Amino acid sequence: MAPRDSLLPGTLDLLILRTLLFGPVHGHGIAKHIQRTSEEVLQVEHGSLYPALKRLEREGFIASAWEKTPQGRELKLYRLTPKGRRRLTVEESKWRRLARAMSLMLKPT
Amino acid sequence: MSHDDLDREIRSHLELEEEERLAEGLSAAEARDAARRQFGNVTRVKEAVHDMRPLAWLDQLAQDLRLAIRQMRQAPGVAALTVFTLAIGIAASTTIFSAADAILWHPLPFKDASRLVGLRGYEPATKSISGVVSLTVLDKWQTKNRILDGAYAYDQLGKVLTGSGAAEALPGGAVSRGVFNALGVHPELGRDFIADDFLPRAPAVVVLSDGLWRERFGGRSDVIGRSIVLSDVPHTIVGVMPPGFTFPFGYDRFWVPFVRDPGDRTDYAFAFGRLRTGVSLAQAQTFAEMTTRGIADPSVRRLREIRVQPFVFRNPRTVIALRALLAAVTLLLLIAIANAANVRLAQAVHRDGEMAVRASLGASASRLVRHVVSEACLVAALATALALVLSAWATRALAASAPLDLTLESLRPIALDWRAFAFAAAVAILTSIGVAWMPVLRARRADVLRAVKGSTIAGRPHDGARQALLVVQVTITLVLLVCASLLGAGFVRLLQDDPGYAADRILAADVVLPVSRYPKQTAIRFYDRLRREAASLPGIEAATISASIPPNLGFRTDAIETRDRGRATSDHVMVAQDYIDGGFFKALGVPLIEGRTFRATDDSDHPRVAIIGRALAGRLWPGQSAVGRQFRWAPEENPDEPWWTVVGIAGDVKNGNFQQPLGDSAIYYPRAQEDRLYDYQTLVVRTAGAPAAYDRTIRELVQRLDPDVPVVQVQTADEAIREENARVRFATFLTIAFAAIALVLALVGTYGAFWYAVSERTRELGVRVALGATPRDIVSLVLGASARLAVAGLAIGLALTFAATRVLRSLLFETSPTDPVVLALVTAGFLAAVLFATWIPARRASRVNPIEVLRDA
Repeated sequence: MAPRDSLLPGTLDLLILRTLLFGPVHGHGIAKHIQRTSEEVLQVEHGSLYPALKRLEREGFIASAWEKTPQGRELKLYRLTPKGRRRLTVEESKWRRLARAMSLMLKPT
Repeated sequence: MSHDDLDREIRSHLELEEEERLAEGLSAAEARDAARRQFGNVTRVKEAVHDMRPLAWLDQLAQDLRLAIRQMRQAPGVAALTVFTLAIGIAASTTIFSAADAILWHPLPFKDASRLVGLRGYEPATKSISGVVSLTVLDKWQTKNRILDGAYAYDQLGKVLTGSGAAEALPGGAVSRGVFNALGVHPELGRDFIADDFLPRAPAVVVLSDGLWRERFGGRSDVIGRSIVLSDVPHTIVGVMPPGFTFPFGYDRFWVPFVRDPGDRTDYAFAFGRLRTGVSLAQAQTFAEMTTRGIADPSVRRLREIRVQPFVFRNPRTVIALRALLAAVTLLLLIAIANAANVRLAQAVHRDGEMAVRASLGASASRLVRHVVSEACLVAALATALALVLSAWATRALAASAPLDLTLESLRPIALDWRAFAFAAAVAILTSIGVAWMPVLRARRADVLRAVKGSTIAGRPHDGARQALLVVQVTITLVLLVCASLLGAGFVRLLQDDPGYAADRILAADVVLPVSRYPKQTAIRFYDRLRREAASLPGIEAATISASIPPNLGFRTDAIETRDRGRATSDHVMVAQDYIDGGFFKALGVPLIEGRTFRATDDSDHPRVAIIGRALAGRLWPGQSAVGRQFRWAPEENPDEPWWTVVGIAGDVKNGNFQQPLGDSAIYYPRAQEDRLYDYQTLVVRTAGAPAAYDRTIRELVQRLDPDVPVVQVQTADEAIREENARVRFATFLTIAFAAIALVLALVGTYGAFWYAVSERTRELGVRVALGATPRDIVSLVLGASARLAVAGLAIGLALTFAATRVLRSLLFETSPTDPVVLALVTAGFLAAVLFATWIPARRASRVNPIEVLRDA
């Protein structure tokens, strides 16, 4: 297994919200998506996703419901709330600023 | 969100992952493992989610407590021992704190009590400070005084209340104008004294205490303006003070104006002042020293200066004793905490496995620590609850047995108050931390591998700490044991001490006559009749009237001259004095060694005669018979000191107490030759049976002779002696109690620690036995380890003891603070007890079956 980079604090929240931007996803899907989009660098222990999901749900950024898939499987799907969408824009702009600053420092042109 | 919901979600997550892995071509078993690995620790995730719920901590607390209770019930003996040990430590410290709080620290119950100062007289010639001041000096000083807002005089007096029910002698206070105001206390009912009340020949007025008002007037509000008779003078009630108010001496029942009669020769009274804002006590002291020098006019012969001192005079011995007790209980509490920690540590060893398994199953380190801490808190909570019950009881017992003067100094009874409760709570928190810290360390290090392998050979990390705890325990206990034994030995000697008279069947009743109705001759006749009637009562073997009985005889300190040899005592001697009649020696059982006792003819119409103690006779006329010779008090202050002819020599009696003897010998004068008015005499009877039973008989007799004559107190001679030695008795009792507790704790601690050490070394000992060690070898191995620790503790303890016993010197009766017999016996006995406490686990260790032990590994 590739060495896991530990996530920056607050990053996981941002990744979850960003994943949900495209529509409702279940926990396993969120984990897979994060893994894929970060090109397997950000290896999240799947379990650690759930406390974060529950916290975001309690704070009202996401909502969840058990739904039946066309295959007849019951899954708990998470979706972004309007509040969560607003939060995402704030977080993302913060993150972009930080990322830009980082890349500028690392690759001075 | 329910638990099930999360379970279901995690299950579905794992299924999805498993399916993906299957699709990647893994076998079913491999896929399941991979999914689980990818997910991480399920329990930890569940706990993390669970902990996020609001009020989750409450739930966890309940869970922790349930677990803690379950664990305590698994080992009820250990739990009870721990709780009880801590409870005793907490109770002892709470109780002593309550006493110290009431006596040493609690501010007086007056407004701005910190600005109240005592004003005391100072005599430059003898460099001595007295409790009273010269009012002439005080008045003069007040005119130039810039440090006090006011100076106030007061005095203590007694008056006889008659007219409603049985006559009663009441203690009270005379207060100068504005005293109540200066103390910030105002009458609950009626008014304070006003200027007119202090004029000479003003109508007599009185302010009642709340207690007297309730007892005599049923708390009715219409008492203001009514009249009561105090010592035959009608007084108008003008006010009633609020409940709890007492001044100046702690048991006052009424107050009257302090009036300075111009014809009154007594210039001396107690006084206090209120410091001006911004003036410190030290500044006031300096100011007084500088400004009162030489301001007295020639009429003042004693106490010509004034000193400013703290308001309350605290007996330095009381302060030292209380500080020592506080130190002792602090040590006791530390022993108790160390003990409880040791016991729990021993227990924790056996739970290493449990801790490790829980950790490997996903319990977080913080969770384990919290669990251990909650167990400790439960122990502390139970111990505190038990301790409060114990200390409520102990405080009452302490208050009941404390010497009266101890509490009077603070105008405050010893009681378990909220500050003591707060202290107990603080101690409980401290205790739970103390008890929890070592098991927490172990829990944090819980190591699956070590625990599962069952290995305890690898390092014993807290050995050093535990051994140090044991040495400290042994040290402290030895100090307490030695102190207790010395005090006990002294006290036994004190009880066996011969007071010089037969104190066993004596009852003394103080009978006060109202002066206005009993001029001198009438008073003499009344007391004579009282004596005759008492002597004729059934069960009374002898009766006599005297001014007082030992150990409370009056005394005088001056030089004595003899007619034939001149100044016989080089300096001032302290001699007890009493005014008696001829029956005194028989009634008290004091031997008459030579000469005769007083006769009815030894009255004011005949030459003055006296009977003196044997020791004084030997000092005045060494080697010669004193009978027939004459002496007098050196006429330094009074040029008219009369000569007395010695007619008899009596055995010496002990007066005062051994800490403060008030004369080692006595002079007895015939009552009929005493010039002063005597309205306050003591009827002394020797009874056939137990003297206390005659209390009522005597009171009824006095009542029959004159219902308006009060009996102030009735006391047996034994009680009087006991009261004299109350301070020593009190200190002895407390120290012995502490030492007994410390001994039990130390033995339990030693036993527990070695039981623990032995159970930890079981495998090692098993190997030794397998290699041929005999049971005797094993016992001596364990005992040797214990003996080394004990001897180290004893050595340090003995060194400290020499320092500690120095403080005890004043409390020891005819016992040296370094009495070698006591020291040797206590040390040897204690060492034997410690070794015995080790011997039980050692014997257990010697019976180790090597096969079982080695197989278990």
